[in-house]
Amino acid sequence: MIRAASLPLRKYAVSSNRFFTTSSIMSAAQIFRMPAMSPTMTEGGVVSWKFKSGDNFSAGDVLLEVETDKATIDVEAQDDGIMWDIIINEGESGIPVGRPIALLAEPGDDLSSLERPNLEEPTKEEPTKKATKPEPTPESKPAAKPAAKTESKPESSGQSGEEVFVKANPSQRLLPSVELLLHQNNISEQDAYEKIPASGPKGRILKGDVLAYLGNIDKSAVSKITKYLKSKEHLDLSNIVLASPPTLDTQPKEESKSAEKPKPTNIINVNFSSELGEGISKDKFKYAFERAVDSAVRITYSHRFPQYSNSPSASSISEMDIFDDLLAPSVTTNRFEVFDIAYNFTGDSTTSATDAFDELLGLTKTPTPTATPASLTADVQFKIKVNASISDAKQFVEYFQDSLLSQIPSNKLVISKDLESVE
Amino acid sequence: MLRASVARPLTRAFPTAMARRTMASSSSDLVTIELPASSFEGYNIDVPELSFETEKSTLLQMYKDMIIVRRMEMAADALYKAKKIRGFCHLSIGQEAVAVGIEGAINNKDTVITSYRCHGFAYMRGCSVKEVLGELMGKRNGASYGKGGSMHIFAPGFYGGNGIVGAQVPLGAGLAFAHKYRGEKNACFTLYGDGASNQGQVFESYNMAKLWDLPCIFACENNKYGMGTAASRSSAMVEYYKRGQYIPGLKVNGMDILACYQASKFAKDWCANGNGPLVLEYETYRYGGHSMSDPGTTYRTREEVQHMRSRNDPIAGLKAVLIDLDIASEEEIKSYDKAARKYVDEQVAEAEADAPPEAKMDILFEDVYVPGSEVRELRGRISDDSWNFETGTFTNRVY
Repeated sequence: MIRAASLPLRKYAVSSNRFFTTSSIMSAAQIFRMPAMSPTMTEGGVVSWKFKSGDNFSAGDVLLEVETDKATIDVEAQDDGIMWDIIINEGESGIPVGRPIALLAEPGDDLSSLERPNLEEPTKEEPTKKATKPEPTPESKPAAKPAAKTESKPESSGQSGEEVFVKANPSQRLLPSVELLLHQNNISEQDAYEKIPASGPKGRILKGDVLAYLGNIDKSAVSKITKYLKSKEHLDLSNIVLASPPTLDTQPKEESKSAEKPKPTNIINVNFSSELGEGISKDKFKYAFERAVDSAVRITYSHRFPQYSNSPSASSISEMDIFDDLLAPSVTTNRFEVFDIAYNFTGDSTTSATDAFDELLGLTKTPTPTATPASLTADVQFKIKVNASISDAKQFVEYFQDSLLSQIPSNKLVISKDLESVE
Repeated sequence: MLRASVARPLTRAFPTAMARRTMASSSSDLVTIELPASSFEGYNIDVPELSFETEKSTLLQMYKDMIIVRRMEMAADALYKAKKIRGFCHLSIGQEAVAVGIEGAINNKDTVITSYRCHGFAYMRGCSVKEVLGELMGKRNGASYGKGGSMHIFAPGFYGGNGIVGAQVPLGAGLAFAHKYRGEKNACFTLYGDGASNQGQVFESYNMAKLWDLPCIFACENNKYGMGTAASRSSAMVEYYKRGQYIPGLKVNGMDILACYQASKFAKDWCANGNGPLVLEYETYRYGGHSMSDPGTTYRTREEVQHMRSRNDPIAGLKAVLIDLDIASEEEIKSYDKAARKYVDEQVAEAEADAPPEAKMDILFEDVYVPGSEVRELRGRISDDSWNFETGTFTNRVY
């Protein structure tokens, strides 16, 4: 404040006496240094000088063109003057900002008697100059107290232990909710810090602490929540173990799968056996079966959504369909899923290893039987997972089963569960 | 007792201005100035007298102030190019007549608030060159203790450079409201640029100022380009003095210090006499770019700039008047120029020698409140940011 009031005085005091001193006018040339034409410029090149030594120029004239990493920029003269000497010639590049590039004189200066300034870099003197100078002490600064009292560490009686309450830390600011609660219950801040045990971080009193102190809630509730929060503070990775390498043998897996007793209610096991006809190998059967599953899925969906039967986008939509769409889940929602298809072939197994490709590659050493015996039987087992959350899923599965079994001649059909029980 | 104690600081602040005036009248060298008819254009108002009398010393002082402001801006330009000033820096080379003309017309109790192009106003309102340049360089002895930079310089009666385009206009209306509320016969000069004049808050301020007849002078410094856009490309109507609609307006040749002076005096009297607000448009020109990152030649020709420099320069204009009226000889003026240059060079050296603020946290908070009026605690964005003025530390210190 004192400083502010004295300002105008100082200004005019200076201005009244400074102008009438027509004393020695410095007759030293000015050093023109490489200017930083952008805040990021560190060095530049002199593209061309627009004035020769001895030329007069006036304010606003382009003195030279400077090339930076971004652009070529004209450097204007800020003031009238004379180009006395060019230090850095045209075409030189990589001149750091601040390096003298020319010497300028003021208009009317006698160039012959001009004194050549010292071109030494005035860089390294400054720190020492500054060091000898007494540090200016800021007057209006509030006397800095000795860095406060060292944070009164709340004696936490158990970082890992059971105790979650510590003594409240008075250097922690009260939360607005806490402040309000204390005020409403006529508890002073001092009392709060002394009497209420804190469960917050670094001894901060939380609203729950006050409520527990008042008896409005159970103290154990606070400690339960705090423990829970503390348990979530760090990600515990100690229970992570490396996954065991997957077993190549599928047989024990099958067993374990069938062994697991409490089956999800929405999974249907389907078993059936089918006699393989003349000239049908196992692989052919597998291929045919899987195609049959695919086509059955498609037929099932296209039965319900005929407009999608041929293409992924609707070909024709009637008004009825629009309402149906609103009421029923869309075609893209999966109603069911077929998985875990397992085959078990019984009968003559000689053909099992036979494959047209194997034959071509000469992998089989024994001469291949030309005719496949008719007695081969395939036991097929697969599972259908029903999306029970969709109301029409049941009809889909029924339709799917019908459509699939109509494609594959089968006997001994066993369906693990009646669809009625799927909910 | 109370009255005496209140009056004391005011009388202390006065002698400078008083001394200037009385010294001039004692020499009783009055000159008559005839302004060209093109100096003013009015909107719902009679233009000020084109002929007026003033003291020779006033004209001389204006000249000295203008060359110091220009030298100071040139020094800032050089320091910026030497990387001693970083960050924002907007120079007013070419626009000196506005700041100097306004200051000549008002007294210490009037208020001024302006945009980020504020160095000249700060100097005219009482900051020294050293304080302005020290502030730009982030030195402890700068006008804002090295923490404000180019856009945030303050002085008594000067409510700052303001960084947000146009946001100072409602503040200026508020300052005018304060004048009216206290029953003072003073006015607030609220300056903004032609770019800011399209801001909505300018018109909101117009409305309230007229509604309550606030002594607010909305002064648009039209330097023809808002950043890199010509006024005619950004404004539907470039007659900014007519923008007030229900507020009378006056357009002033801002490249003529005498016209600026006469118009500012007229505006101040208009407002101080309870006529409500006034919109002024100083038609001026900046020779440099918008900021230090703008070479200023991509949206206008170099010829245009050089034309303005050589034909319309306010300093050259006043120089011609001084010689014409035989107030100063060519040699004297040259010696003033040299002296101004020397003075600014000295101030630059002094400012450079200053230390920057220490890297201490309490320095950040020391100017939030007038010392002694602090709250116990200044809440931060998060609880860890809360600053305790009693202990001088963060309340919940975590690092």
